[in-house]
This record gives sequence, C-alpha cells and structure tokens, in this order.
Amino acid sequence: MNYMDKKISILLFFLFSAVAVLFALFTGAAGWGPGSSYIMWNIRVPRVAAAFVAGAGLGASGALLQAILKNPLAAPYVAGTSAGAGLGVALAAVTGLTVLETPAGFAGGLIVTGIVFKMASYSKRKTPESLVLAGVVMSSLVSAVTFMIMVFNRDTVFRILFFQTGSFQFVSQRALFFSAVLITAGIVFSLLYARELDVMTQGDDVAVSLGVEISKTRKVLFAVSALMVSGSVAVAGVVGFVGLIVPHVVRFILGATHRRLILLSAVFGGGFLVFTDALARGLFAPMEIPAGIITAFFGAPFFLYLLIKG
Amino acid sequence: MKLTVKNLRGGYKDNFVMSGISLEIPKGCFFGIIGPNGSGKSTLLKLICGILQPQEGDVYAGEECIKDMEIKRKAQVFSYLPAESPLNFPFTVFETVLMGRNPYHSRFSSWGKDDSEKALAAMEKVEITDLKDRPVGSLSSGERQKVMLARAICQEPKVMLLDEPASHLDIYHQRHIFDILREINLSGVTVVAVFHDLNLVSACCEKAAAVKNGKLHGKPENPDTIVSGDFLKKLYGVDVRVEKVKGKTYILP
Repeated sequence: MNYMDKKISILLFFLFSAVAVLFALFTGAAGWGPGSSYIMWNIRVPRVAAAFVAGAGLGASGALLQAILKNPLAAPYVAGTSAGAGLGVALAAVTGLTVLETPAGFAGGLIVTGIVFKMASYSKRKTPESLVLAGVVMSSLVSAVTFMIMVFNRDTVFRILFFQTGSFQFVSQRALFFSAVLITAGIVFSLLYARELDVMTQGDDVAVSLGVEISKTRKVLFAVSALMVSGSVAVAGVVGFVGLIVPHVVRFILGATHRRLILLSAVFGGGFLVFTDALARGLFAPMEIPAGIITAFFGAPFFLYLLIKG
Repeated sequence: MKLTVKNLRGGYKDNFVMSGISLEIPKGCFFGIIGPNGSGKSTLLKLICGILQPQEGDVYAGEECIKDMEIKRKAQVFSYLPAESPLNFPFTVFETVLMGRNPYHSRFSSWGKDDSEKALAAMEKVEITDLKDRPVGSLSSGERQKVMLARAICQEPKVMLLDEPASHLDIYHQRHIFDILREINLSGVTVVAVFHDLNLVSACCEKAAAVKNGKLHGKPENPDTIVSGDFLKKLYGVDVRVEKVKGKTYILP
C-alpha cells in the first residue's frame, strides 16, 4: 500500500467513527419532539461518550497486549481483568452497595490482573505463555465464584448478567469522566512505547539485541493495558471481541507499525462500539439488548474467517 | 572491535550450561563456532552479546565490560541474527530493517531522515530494495534472511553475531549472504557465526572454535586444523573424508 492509500485509509477510519457517533446520537426509542434536547444531552451524549471511551480503551489495549504477548490473537481479557471486574460488580450488587458497582468492578479487574501477573512470575520460564496460562486459570476460578454468587442471589442475576455481556445502562457521569482520563492517558503513554512494541514482536532475543529491556517494558505496558481495560469495563461492562477484532482490522489495512496501530485502534474501537451500542438500542426498541451481544454477532464470524484464512 | 571472553559460565537455568569458556577474538576477525547439536553453540553466542546474563566470568568488547554497558549501548556494539525469526506481524521489509535503528533512539525521539537513509542503504547492500513495501511474511526464507541481515547492517554494529545464517538457504542465497558478510567483515566489523556446514567454515573463517557438552573442545584454531579428520572424529564421533581443493579443506560426509 502506498503512502497516499494509507492516508486515505486513515481518513476513512476517522470518518467511520464520526458517522457512527452521529448515527448513534439520532438513534433511539424516542422520536423528535418536545424534550428531545433533554434526551439528547442527558441520555444519548453521555451514553455515546461512554461507548466511545470504552471502545477506544479496548481497541488500544488489544493492540498493546497482542504485541506484548507476541500473539496477534490475544484479547484484552486474557489476563483475567474482565472476570475480576465481573466479580467486583457482583459483590457490590449482592451486598446492596450498588453505588460502588463501578469502583468495585474497576478494583476487581486490577486485583485479579495483579494476581495473574504475580502467578506468572513464579513460573520457571518467564514467557508470555505463562501469563496467558495464569490468566486462563484465574479467569475460570473467579468466574466460578461469580456464578456461585449469582446462584445464591437470584434477584440480582439480571443486573450482573447485563454487566457481564456489556452494557451502558448503569454508567454514572463520574465513572465516565474517570475512565476517559485514564484511557486517554493510557493511549498517550503507550504511544511513547510504539517503537519498542514494534521491536518486541520480533522475538525476545532480537528485541534485547536491539536494545529493548523486554521484561521491564512488558511489565509496564501490561499494567497500562490492565488499567485501560479496567477503565473500559467500569463504563461498559465486559464487551467481548472489540479488543480482538479492532486491532486486527487496523493491522490488516494499515500494517503493524504500532504508532499508527494504537492510535487508530482507539479511534476505530470507539466508533465500532458506538455503532454496535446504537444497534443494541435501536434494533428491538424500546427493548434494549446488551451491546456485547451485538459485538459477539460481529466477532464470532470474523474469528471464524481468521481461523479459515489461517 | 576485539572481544575477550574470560572464564565465562552461564546459560539457561537447567540445561545448556556453558562453563569455563575463555576466548580472544581479534578485531576484524571472521570467527566460526562449530559443534554437535545441543553442544551450546547458540547459547555461547547469546552469552557473548549479553542476551543471556553470564553467571560467572566476563565479556569485554574492546576495553569495556559488557556487564557495565547500558542495553542500548550494547545494541550499538553487537547485532544478533537468529537462525529463524517469528513472522506473526505484517511489518514491511522497510519497517523491519528500520528497527535496526532502535538502539540510537530514546522513547521521545522519532525516526529521522538519517534513519531511513541508513535503512535504504542497508537494503541496497543486500539487494532487497525492490522488496521494500512487501510484508516480510510473504517472502521466501532466503529473502527473509536477507531482510534480517539488512536490519543487522542498519544497526551499524562493531561485532556481528549470527546463528547459522544460511542453514535453510539454497546455494545462491547462501553464497550471496556470505559474500555480503565477507564484505562487511573487510570493512572492519568482527563477525562471529555459528556453523553447521563445515565447508563454510573453511571457506569463510579465519579462526574457529569447537564446542562440545558446554565446553570448548580444544583451542580456537585456524580452520585447516579444525577441519581435519582426527579433530572432527573426536568432536562429532564420526569418520569423515577430508579433501584439499585449491589449498582449502573440504569435508565429504
């Protein structure tokens, strides 16, 4: 792809996201009429903003994790962040502390990710694989606990379930602001590491020989990605597939250079989640389905395509 | 740059531990390392350039001990070319070669004109300029190895370390890569390479060392001494025929 084509593709990613935002702002159960501007400013704008922030965080952290783990098929949830957040929210919900749901989800995600990282550091060979394995183990364990809580607290099941499939129904303005700042900072910070991420995909030995302190860099960026994922989960719940598909599409079109990849995964991830959330609200209006269900409907066939294509 | 290895010990945790390695590799030498599979050749290469941390002993690049060198400084002295490179990410040839400039940049600087010029010059040297915008994954293994060599050239090292640089290549690419290495070597860069093909050792190297069971097998010698029936019988445990053609020694397995 030549230089001009690349510029046009970059522009198209921005355009897609802008159109998605407009589409989402004018989609919904309420028609135009008196009270429209109230709905617009107090319901739709915050919601679209939340979807954009969450999608941007997932897209960028997906790009980051795929490079750190040297695996283009890694997803932001490999490290147990989502399972931890799910447990945090479930605990807050059943103890009646619903105001604390978002912070609890955020904290839960970070704590479990921390445990996963600690577990991986005990393994003899400190490879990215041990991190993935520790993540799988902790995710299953933590999810089992969450499900047990749900079984014993049937009245809150619906709320927890919505959170675990990704939804923006319960987001507070304060949580949104907090996550937006966190995710923006995370993106800027990881852009500083873009060149090192490029080099790290070339294998550990080569990365060291090119002057990258891999274990330190991996740790720092892993923490940054966990913060971004937790920020996303705090406003959107556990939305699957965005962090996997988005960097893939961007990489396929624009190549692997991380400076472009991280930035455009954030832009496209934001637009993509805004779009899917608009569908989630609009398709069966006035009934609303979790946005995560729509992303899964996009994600599963896409994953299958990757599988067949090799 | 001259390399001095003093009583080196190290390797992976449980196996492939090298010990008692002492070597002197003069500046501008084309140095070969040979030995049976699993003897520790690759481990030795990684210990020399600090990819693996030695447990005992030291390596000096010139007068500088590599233990005291910053990682970026080390990367300005040594380049390392593995036998195979992972290709999970669709970087183009140019982007891959450009990575060789990483040791000269901090986190806050971006690629400059100087960097792309050096990358282009390196690509020209190994004759892959026409592949510039192709993803590395779409290339043949010979072309790929040239890309990695171009990246190492772009790194402007004083010492170039290579792990079986031509093991999967056809005779054309093999020849081409060794011609380029010869040329780089003549410009003053010390080259240390692991070999399986002993004929390449006698064709290219000025000196070679043999490794067996994590130790040096004898002293580094000139290739004619290393590539001899008796020596190879002891090293590999097989009888080989050795012939002289135009003053150089060749092996017939």
